[in-house]
Amino acid sequence: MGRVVSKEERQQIFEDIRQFLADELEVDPAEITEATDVVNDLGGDSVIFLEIVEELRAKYGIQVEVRTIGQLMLRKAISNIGEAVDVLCEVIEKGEELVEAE
Amino acid sequence: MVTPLGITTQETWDAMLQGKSGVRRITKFDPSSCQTQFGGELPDEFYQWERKHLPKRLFKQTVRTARIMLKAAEEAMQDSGMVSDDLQSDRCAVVMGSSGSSIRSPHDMPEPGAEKFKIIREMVNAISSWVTMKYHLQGPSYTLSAACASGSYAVANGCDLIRWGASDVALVGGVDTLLTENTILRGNFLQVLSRADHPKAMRPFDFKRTGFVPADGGCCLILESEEHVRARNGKVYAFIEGYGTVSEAYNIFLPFPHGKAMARAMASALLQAGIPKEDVGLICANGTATIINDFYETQAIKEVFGEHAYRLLVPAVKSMTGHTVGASGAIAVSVAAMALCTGCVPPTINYEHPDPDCDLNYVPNYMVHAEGLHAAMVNAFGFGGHNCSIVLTK
Repeated sequence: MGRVVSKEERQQIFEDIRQFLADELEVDPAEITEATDVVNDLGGDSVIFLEIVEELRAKYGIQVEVRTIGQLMLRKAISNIGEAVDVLCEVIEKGEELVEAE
Repeated sequence: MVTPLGITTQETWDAMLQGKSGVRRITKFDPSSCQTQFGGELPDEFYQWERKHLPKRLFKQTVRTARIMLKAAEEAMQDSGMVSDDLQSDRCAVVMGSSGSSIRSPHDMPEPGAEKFKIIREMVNAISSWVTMKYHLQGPSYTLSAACASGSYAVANGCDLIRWGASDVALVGGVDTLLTENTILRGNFLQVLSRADHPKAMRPFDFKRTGFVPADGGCCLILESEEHVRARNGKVYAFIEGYGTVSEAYNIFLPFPHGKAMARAMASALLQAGIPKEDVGLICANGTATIINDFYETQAIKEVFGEHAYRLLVPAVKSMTGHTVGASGAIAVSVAAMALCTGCVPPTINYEHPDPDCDLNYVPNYMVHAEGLHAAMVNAFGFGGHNCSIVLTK
């Protein structure tokens, strides 16, 4: 079982994702909003979300296995960054139960 | 072209006409455990180019073969003058050849975090796939493998896609990276690599030849239907008239005795091209500098061309680039096209000791001007018995 993610923490997760994508895909962070599409707008790929999880794992105490997150992604298509933030919050809140909860 | 002689076609071509060697002692890793310590390394400019022009994430997701091909494809596209208005993307094919060195590149130090991309980094079709993504080409695309003939097979197959009406344009070529410790150690076991420790280690058709020098390289050509290139008023280097692809069905390693299957490929190419053998003035030889291969190729040329064989120019440009394996056939097609276009024929360098068994005109050491050159043949013969000969005309 995880914990509740506050509004401020959600904003911080967005900022962290934005910075990660800006570094990784060599774009200006100012160009990245919650509506930005990772693949079509930034030239990223579908695997990048799993990399983000790995990157933020320690900071947010994420203990869910990548396999579990992969299963979740099969059920919930993530296209824009706002959706990625929401899914990450859900991962933090539900932990390993998130797939079973679906 | 991206070769040890230069990272553009013009640089490579100019160096070839000057008879320069791209072979040097290997510096990218310590070759002291290998019996072969000389190779055809890409110029440092390539590594500077890729760091400057390719996205950081690409280094996690690719090995060097894909990046070399992106460079070669960029040059080909720029040189063609094609713009997106000229292209109907689903009518553009991408067919590349590679012997599979993408999965033999442990020296290709990956970026931090690259290990998790191992599957997409090393899949050989990635060579074609990255080109389709860069130029948004949506016709058929794949990478084929026929050892040293991979690049030639890609050219032949691209030609077919256009002839069959499946595509108007085909980006074709080949790429390989041979300079890894593993590859060289295994090449030494097979007794095909020269062990000479000097820049003249690769000497095709020379009496003292001892095998080939491994190299990195890539080449991309653009094939277009005549109708397509005329409609956009594009530049034409040469016409591909036909090809012959045959399997030796003999031995995974040794060529069929006396070049009988090499001769079948050449004869088949002439037949498909529909031109008399006397029209051919140039053969860009496979010329791998192994004792048997050069002897058999010479025998095969004599069998197919008869007395005309002695009037042919038969250079082996691998003497200058080293053996780029999957790229070499495509490089040779480019060289043949440039020769037809300019009338200049690059030499076989390091040719110092004539071999009575190899007695054709291999254009020893110095380029020649060939007035009236009308047709050329390109030979590529690979491990596994994959033979391909291609005929081009001016």
